[in-house]
Amino acid sequence: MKLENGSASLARESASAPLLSVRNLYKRFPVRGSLFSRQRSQVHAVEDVSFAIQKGHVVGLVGESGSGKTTTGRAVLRLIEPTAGEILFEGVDLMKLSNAEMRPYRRRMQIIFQDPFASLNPRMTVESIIAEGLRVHGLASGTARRERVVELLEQVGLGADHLRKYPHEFSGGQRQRIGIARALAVEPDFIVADEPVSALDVSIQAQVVNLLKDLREKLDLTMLFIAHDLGVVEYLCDEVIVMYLGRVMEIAPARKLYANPLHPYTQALLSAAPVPDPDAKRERTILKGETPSPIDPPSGCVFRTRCPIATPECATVVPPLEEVTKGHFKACIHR
Amino acid sequence: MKQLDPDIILEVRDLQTHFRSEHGPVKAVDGVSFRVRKGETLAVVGESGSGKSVTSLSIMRLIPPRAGGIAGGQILFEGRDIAALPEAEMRHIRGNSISMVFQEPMTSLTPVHTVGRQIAEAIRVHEEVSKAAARERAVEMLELVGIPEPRRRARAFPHQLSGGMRQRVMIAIALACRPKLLIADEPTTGLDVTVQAQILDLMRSLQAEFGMSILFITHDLGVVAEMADRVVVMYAGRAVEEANVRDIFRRPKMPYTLGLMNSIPRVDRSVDQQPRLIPIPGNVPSPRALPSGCTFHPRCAFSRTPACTEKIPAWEDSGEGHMVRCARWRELDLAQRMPA
Repeated sequence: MKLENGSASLARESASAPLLSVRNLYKRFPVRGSLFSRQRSQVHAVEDVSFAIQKGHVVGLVGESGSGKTTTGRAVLRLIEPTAGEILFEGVDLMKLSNAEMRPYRRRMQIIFQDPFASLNPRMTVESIIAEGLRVHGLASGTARRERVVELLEQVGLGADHLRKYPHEFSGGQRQRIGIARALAVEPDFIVADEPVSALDVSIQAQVVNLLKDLREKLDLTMLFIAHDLGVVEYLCDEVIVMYLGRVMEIAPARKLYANPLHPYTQALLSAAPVPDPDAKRERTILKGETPSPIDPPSGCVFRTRCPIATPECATVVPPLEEVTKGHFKACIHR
Repeated sequence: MKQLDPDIILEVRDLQTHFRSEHGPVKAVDGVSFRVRKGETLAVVGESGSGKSVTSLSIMRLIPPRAGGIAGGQILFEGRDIAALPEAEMRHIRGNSISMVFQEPMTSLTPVHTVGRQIAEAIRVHEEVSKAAARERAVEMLELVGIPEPRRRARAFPHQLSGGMRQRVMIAIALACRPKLLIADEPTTGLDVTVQAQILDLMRSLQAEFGMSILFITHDLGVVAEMADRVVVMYAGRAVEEANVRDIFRRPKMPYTLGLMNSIPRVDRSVDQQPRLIPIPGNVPSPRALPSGCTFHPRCAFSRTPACTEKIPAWEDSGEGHMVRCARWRELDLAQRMPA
């Protein structure tokens, strides 16, 4: 009986293909060299990134500046064109689609931006901001559209009395709620949230984090949640991807990652996060130096120049992303 | 007036800093008091609009007179009130006895001079030394703040350095004249966490070496826990609580402080230990439209008594120097509402 159950769940698991699967994604930006130089250099923003997101899961994407996390988020939506790789959405490779073929996917994949001050058109009312997607994709009009906008406003904790207001009349937290309502309007299957709470004060950040947590449960959202705050990610995400200088260092279920980080970079990142407890034991790994330039990343493992356990061998091989235990991947030849 | 304690380097008493506006004065700071002891770090923590940065600029007397200025209170530095000191005398204190590190090192450094020259100039403004000697000191300072190859880096321009390196240069400039008090206004905000850890570590070791006091302005309670001996919590222009760091985190007496603690997603606790954040409802008020009485009352879970809404609560010592501004601190037992 037990065995049957086990094999049944295994079968179910293998049958459920991920909603989104990113394979060997690259994004390189050309940089203009000096006027007469022939050497064209490139920013290696995203290098050979692969991951998968199951339907209904929220996956955190963390890293410091220059890690490529924002570029990855936008490349997945083809808001910037990847240099190479596959982006499989329900098995369809978005990279192979024309602009016209991409259109239905544009509705199904939405983004929430970091800066609630820059991402809302100051000349549009809240109603037209939220209704824009419904209009563009021909999803609702007239009274039905207004009713939907009111419903969305209520869903994000704002009332119908805000319909005719303009973005400047709102605080940062309220604007971020409007940004969330706008993304939810077209009932997307997948959302990229790019540092949606980073610009907010702590007391307001907690409101928006709780809202996202409620919405994901209520609407069964699938989300790539980009952040640099490890506390927020742990609180909200099922799995976490750790990036450094364009590459994936570690992927793990959130609990495993925080309880048992394997990659020396993840360990350093976690130990560097300030803990709001004056009695906390601080066994800190302070990394040397800073993230090198993505124009000329180190050979082999990109983290080796700051790594406390690097050896000469690290300069010669790019460590492959290996699965250590189920769902826990790391890219380090020593761990 | 109380006898002056020689151990106190800076005492701010009921500071008021107002800005001019079309609609009358904006009270950006409206009642802030605290003391900084020799060799200790006092953190001033608050969200946007709390007045924490205006407090630090007021102490440095860096508010442009046409924008506004100190409208009341005292700033006692080594017992002397510097709130109304003539600019010529203040210039002698600034950079010499008190210096400051800002959040954005790129805008505080001149882009047209090498960092070595900028440090050397800071030294020569306050000390009579030759150019060559000042340059030599600049290299020593760069080495002190942990910049590799200091002699070579002294010849670099700010844009050639990373954010973390620039902040180290700022610290080198601030410490060039061995100040007694360093005001650090969000010195690590905007830096990556791994670089922030380096800078905080550097500040701690420099403090241990030189024994200066640090007034550390921040919005990050994690950084507070790591750096502070004592903490002042500010809200909407007022100091609302001050205590030693352990009491602030373990036994807060002001509901706003408790609200901040409960709002933070903690990286040191598993999700099972913290199933849900408890946010503070509502929004931070605008300094142009502050609520009556206790400015926190519209967002407070314990308020709505006439005492909260009608008059500004007094700044009171609740015992052993644990200061609090709350009409109900005697009856509220907030410690039991802390996360486990």
